[in-house]
Amino acid sequence: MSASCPVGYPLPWAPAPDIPKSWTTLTEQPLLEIALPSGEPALLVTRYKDVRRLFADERLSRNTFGRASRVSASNDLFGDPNIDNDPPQYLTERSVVMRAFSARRIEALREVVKVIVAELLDAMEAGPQPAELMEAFAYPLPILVICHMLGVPPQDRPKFRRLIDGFLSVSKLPEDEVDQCRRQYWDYLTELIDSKRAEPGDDLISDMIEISREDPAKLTAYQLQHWVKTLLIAGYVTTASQLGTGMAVLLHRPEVTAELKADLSLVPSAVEELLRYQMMGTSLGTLRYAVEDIELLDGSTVIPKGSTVLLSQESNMDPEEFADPLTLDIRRTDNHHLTFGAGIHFCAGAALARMELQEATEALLRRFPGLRLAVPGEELRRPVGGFLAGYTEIPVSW
Amino acid sequence: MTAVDGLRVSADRESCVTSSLCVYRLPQVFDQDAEGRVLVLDERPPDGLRRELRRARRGCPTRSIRVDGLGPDADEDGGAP
Repeated sequence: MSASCPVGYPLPWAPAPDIPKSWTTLTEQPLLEIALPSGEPALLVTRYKDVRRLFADERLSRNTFGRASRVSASNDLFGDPNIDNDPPQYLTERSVVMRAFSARRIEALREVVKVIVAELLDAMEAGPQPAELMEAFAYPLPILVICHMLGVPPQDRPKFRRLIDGFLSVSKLPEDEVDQCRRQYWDYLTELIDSKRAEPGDDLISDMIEISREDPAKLTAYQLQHWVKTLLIAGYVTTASQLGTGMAVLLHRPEVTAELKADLSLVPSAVEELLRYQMMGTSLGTLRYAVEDIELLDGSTVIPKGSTVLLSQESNMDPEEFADPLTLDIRRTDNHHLTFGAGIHFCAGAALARMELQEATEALLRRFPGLRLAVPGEELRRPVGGFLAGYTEIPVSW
Repeated sequence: MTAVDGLRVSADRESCVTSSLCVYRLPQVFDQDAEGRVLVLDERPPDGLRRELRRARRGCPTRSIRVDGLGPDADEDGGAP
């Protein structure tokens, strides 16, 4: 670590669907000075135990707007000065939403997901080879699922996706276009929620409207719209990216793919391991602001008050926590990875994402026993200037 | 064996954030109410579940699971302050 030369973040990826070896040695220093895509400074917490602990530390505030470094010069992403992301307000709002994400509710959706998966695979099978996995399967699946859950009409899907993609641009679109997407997306949500107010359905937005009407102290109209905005985005891009890139990581290893096909009961642990590998994301989503000095577990390193902090997803490669971290081991047990975070901001959609990833992975391998990458893994390309780093196109044959 | 030798499970419903990890791992021990918050179905689970209980406790994102009789969490120093 050098104080005069912060490391550019996100860290560079390996050319193939592998984790760069250097990630396992990030933990030599508990804190790494980094430069965000905006050029502004932040501190990356590198060790699993520190990261896990700090996810639960209220001295790291999620209210970053206007005081923490910005992720990019043109994009505040989820920063909203009108939303309080810290307890107690955050917990009140979250509890309204989480009833829709309980294990029972997610399992009730599993049959819906199976049907959507089968229909998408039918279309993919009927089309030409190689197929492009992201467009044919990985993008549409989570969009259809989250739209079903929230009650977004199917005809709105293309518009919704265009706006989200623009909204999530960190540097690939000009600032005014990002801003325009952000405003259009917000306006679209206003219309959508108004239509649900007029004509409630059997969906999460209608449920939230009802709760907000009964007890506005739990959820104001603005907070409701903010949650819908966040759930729609989070329910779509992250799962799509993990599904596609996870499959690429798997298919790049034919021997592991064969092992999984031979025993599909390994799908849940394989999905966990691909989540740990987390080749689609960065730690930018963990942006926090230190409201006090915070000492790390080594007893000497301190995060100074006023710092912008990222809790590293790269700590999924901490050799202190994960034996042989660079090996993709689909039988790994005690796989308490931090891809969904921890603490009170633990990913609201984690159980939904897991279920979708399990259904999608198993169905792909059953339907296409010969599924393989149609280009060498080294040739897969990551997007430039996006919030997520999953492969943009994944050509596959079977 | 007396009662105090066995395992005793409790969970903090206030800090639960509905990750559902415990419910998927040990559905015979954990459930959720209509709001999605943790419920303990079996406060005195059999000894054969020790390993899975340890994993459930460790995996809980808000450290909301307590299991008496299981020994300390190996990762306790990584827990919430």
